[in-house]
Amino acid sequence: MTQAASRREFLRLAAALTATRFAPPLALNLAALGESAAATATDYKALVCVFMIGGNDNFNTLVPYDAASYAIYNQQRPAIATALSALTPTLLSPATALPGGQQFALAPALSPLLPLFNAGQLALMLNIGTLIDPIASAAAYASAPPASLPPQLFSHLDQRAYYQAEGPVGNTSGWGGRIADLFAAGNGNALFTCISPAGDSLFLTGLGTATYSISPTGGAIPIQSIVAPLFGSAACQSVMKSITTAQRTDANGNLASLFEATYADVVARSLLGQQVLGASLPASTVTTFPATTKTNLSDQLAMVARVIAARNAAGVGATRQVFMVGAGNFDTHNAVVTTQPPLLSDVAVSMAAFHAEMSALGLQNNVTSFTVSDFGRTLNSDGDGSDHGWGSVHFVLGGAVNGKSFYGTAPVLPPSLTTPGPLDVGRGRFIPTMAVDQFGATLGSWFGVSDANLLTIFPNLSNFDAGTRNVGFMQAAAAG
Amino acid sequence: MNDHCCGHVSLDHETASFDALVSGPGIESIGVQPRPSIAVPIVALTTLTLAACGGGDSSPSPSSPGTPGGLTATAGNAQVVLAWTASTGATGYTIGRATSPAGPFATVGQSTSTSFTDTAVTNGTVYFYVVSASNPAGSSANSAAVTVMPVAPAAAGLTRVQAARFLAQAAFGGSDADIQNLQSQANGIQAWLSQQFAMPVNPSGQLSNVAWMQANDLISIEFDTTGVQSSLWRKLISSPDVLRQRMMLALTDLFVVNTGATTLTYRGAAAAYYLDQLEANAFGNFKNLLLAVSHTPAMGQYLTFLDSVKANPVTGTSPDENYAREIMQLFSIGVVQLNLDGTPVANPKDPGVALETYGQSDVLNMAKVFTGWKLNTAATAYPGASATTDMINEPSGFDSTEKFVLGQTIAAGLDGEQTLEAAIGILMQHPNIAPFISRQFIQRLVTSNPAPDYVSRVASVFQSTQGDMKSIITAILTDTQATSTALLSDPQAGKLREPVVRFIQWARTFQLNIAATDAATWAKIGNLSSSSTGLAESPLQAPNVFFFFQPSYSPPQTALQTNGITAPEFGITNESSVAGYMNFIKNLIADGIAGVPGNYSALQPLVDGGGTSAALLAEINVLIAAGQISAQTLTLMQGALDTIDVSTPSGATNRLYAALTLVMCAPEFLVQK
Repeated sequence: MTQAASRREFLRLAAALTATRFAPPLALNLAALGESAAATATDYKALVCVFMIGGNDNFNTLVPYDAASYAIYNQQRPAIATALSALTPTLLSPATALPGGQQFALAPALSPLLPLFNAGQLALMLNIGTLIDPIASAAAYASAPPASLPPQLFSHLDQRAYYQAEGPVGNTSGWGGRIADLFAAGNGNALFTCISPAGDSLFLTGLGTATYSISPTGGAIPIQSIVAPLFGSAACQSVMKSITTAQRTDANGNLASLFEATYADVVARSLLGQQVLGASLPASTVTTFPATTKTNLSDQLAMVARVIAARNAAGVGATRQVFMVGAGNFDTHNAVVTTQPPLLSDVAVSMAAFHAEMSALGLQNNVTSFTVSDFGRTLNSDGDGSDHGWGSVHFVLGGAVNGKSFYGTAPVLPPSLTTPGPLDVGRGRFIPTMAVDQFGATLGSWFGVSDANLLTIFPNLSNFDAGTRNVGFMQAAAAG
Repeated sequence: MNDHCCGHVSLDHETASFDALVSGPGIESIGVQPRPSIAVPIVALTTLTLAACGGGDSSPSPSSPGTPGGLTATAGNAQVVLAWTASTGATGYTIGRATSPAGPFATVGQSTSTSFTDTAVTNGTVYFYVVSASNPAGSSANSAAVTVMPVAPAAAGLTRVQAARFLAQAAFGGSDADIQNLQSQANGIQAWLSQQFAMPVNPSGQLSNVAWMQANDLISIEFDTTGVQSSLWRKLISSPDVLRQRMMLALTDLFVVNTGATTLTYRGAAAAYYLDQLEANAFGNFKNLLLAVSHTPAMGQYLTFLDSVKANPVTGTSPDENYAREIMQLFSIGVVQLNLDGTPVANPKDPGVALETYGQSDVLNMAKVFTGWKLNTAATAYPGASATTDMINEPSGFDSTEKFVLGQTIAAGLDGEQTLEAAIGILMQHPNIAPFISRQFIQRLVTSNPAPDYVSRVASVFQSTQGDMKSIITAILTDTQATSTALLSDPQAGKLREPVVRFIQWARTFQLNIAATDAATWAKIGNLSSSSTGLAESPLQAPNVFFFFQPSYSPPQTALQTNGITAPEFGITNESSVAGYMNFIKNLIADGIAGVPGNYSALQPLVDGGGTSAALLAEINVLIAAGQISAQTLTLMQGALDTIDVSTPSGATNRLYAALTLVMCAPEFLVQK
């Protein structure tokens, strides 16, 4: 391992120590628990987070279908409501019908997910969002102390960050990364634990684990001037490597520039990653992926699939991996009727193709993918779109999912245009009834995280009744 | 309409006249006024009152002289030179000075001519001047006030390294000629700034973005942004008003627009007009910038208030909240209450919870301001002309009810334009706007993590000049935190150079030779935002209004974060993008871009003569890195470069290319200090 890489380890420790300022129990416990938890993981599991950037319009994603609910939906957003007749083919029939005759249909653009739902491999969360404490009603929200509410509700950046981070406000790590912290030591190379073809992500940042970024199409990109002579000069090639990866120090042996050191660290990781993974990545996916038009999202998921296929390669040896991919332009304040369907179609087609690829690799029970977004949107329309909301609808897909089911409770819809529902904090912004922490803990439990560690990874989880912390959409993990 | 190439945009790196009408103190009216070269007219409360009584050039009495017009103030070293146009009937003039726009204006001198030099001033202090005319019959009203800040010149004669360092902050670096020009200025940086401020928009036969697209038959192309992208590269790389270009780029980082991700038909035309508005107001007043941006169809469509209408109780629709939220969150005040120095205001009740600047109620009320805005369909000079014309407010869609925003009231019954000006006036009055905006401009030009006292000094200038951009820019670039050599060795100082700035620096330093009229070649530069093969960012291509990176970003698990240091550009720095950049720059240096090579004639003699590469590296270090590559690193580089045999032309070329590539990939260059 190079000097730069060992320096990285040092920097990580320093960062973990700093994190204690914000959350002492978290940092200390995870550092202590990491190795023992990792030792128990012998099988392979992966989590794949699909981020719908901008705040997906949940009400045009999973549409209220029963007559009473549809009437309210149509009243609140007449110009952007999906016609009932268009929804009939994608009406969902869960294994157990919802109480009170409640029915939902998928957006027509999501039809590629319908067979997966019916096959029991897709589950839906009905009203999930950021919460610190349970909030029982709009009245309770109005009188809640600020510290009990997620920061800057309805703001993209703040909510997007909190959805990924959870825990104390301003948290600099994410729950995907904190879960991965427990398993990184069990992987052959910790570098390949949290991987993103969508750039850096808070979600994948743990206390000891950082995002490793790859290109959606190019994988691990070689640096030409370091892997080959620079304009014919091997000496220049060698110096290029040393000046771009060295941690320059001053006369006292201290880092000369924290900016330079941070940059050099990224170059060193880029080189290490390319040397190992670059040689191991299969040239393509097993399946034609997807069958129709390639998109940036399908490219990202295809690259994730290729990385998973290389999990056993020399120098990789991964038993637990967490991925994040992303698709943009979900902030549909206008033209939602024309702009959202292609975005949803992209998500559905790409996720279905990814699931098919995992099945082809025999990993459909080992890999679970799920959607997240900044927030839900208002039920009420602003004319041709909707505005920033709170609770939303999300999917979980995989062979280990208890599918063909809804989880959580959909909010009671507003009785009229002028009368809000009990969880409505304005224009159909609904207080979530399932916390991101409960959702994440359910995934974490499947991944192999103990209940005690889940309470550390999700500091808000203890604010929810013990019996509700696992939402139940994942099959119980085999004892490892 | 839905050619959602935007679904593909940049995901690779996903990882911007009413004082009686508004309650609350101290609101002024700022109209659109002619802008003299150095000073910007500030209409202060006192002058507004006087102007309202005296009115322009009209006289208080038939025999007293008219109010002097055209007042300009030019900053010097511990002096201010004032000039104005003569008033009919005047026999003398009285010069008043104040340190706040509201006065009081103390008399500092008399003049019988139309100029005056005030030498009783202190460098670094912002002054406001007015002039009145007099004759035996009486005195005129005060002129409109102008603002100016005298500044000490940098120690006489900037060194080449000092000049190169300043040009990295204020421009995109510079060629040897640019450095010599700055060095030759008798008054150093101040003179250079005056020279740049004095340049008109679109100097030396340059065309505006809209005019250039018209001239090249690009303005009316539907669903296309490649034309405006070409026009923008042309400006960034070849326009001589380099400070305005640097600020325009900084403003596109702040007021983010990506019309390619909208449903606008004439999205290229809309972006061109938006860029022209940024340029036209880059040296104006921040309030006018906000007003101009808020009128552009590009912003109207990108943040979706175009065609937003007042609530309809029948259909149940509400006004679009998008721009209402983002103009506060991103373009003016931010989400957390700030002190003047940019630090958060402490919450006395709960130190762990930040004090928010606004709530959902403010957003809902602000959303009413942004109703009724429509494309001006009367603009029909060419297809797409409405996209290059300010939006208009249509009363039928406008919510004219009373609005409560940030603790102030905007009266019912105002029209859309009056309401917009009132709302932006409220933002300009908010204590956050000066530190929030000042800090971001400092981050764009000088350093990622400005010391609170630096932010405080610049924010004070923002406040005292009510957002005068020239004064703000001058304060940023002449501050000791920008010029201090002590910071060169501070391990926490500096900023990662923005990748697009590195590219433009290469193009300007090596005089990329593409004729302004050569639209086909400019088009070949294209979108450089691929993180695996390009720069991980490109102008007008941001994935969303939060740009490619955020001002508060600090890379996790690094010594930067441990030390609480913000480093925005690290938001697009990852294992993939560093490889993409290093490969891009190597190819750029050897092959040029758009089929056009760099002009290395200034460096060629340093490799053609044989010998060592010491002189070559020394020159590149100054030109590219402002002398910030350390001696140890230069020694390493030289040792390797000297192994290249330069006795053949190809060997000489290889050494030149390798030297440039080593420097432009070195962390010591990439981190600007």
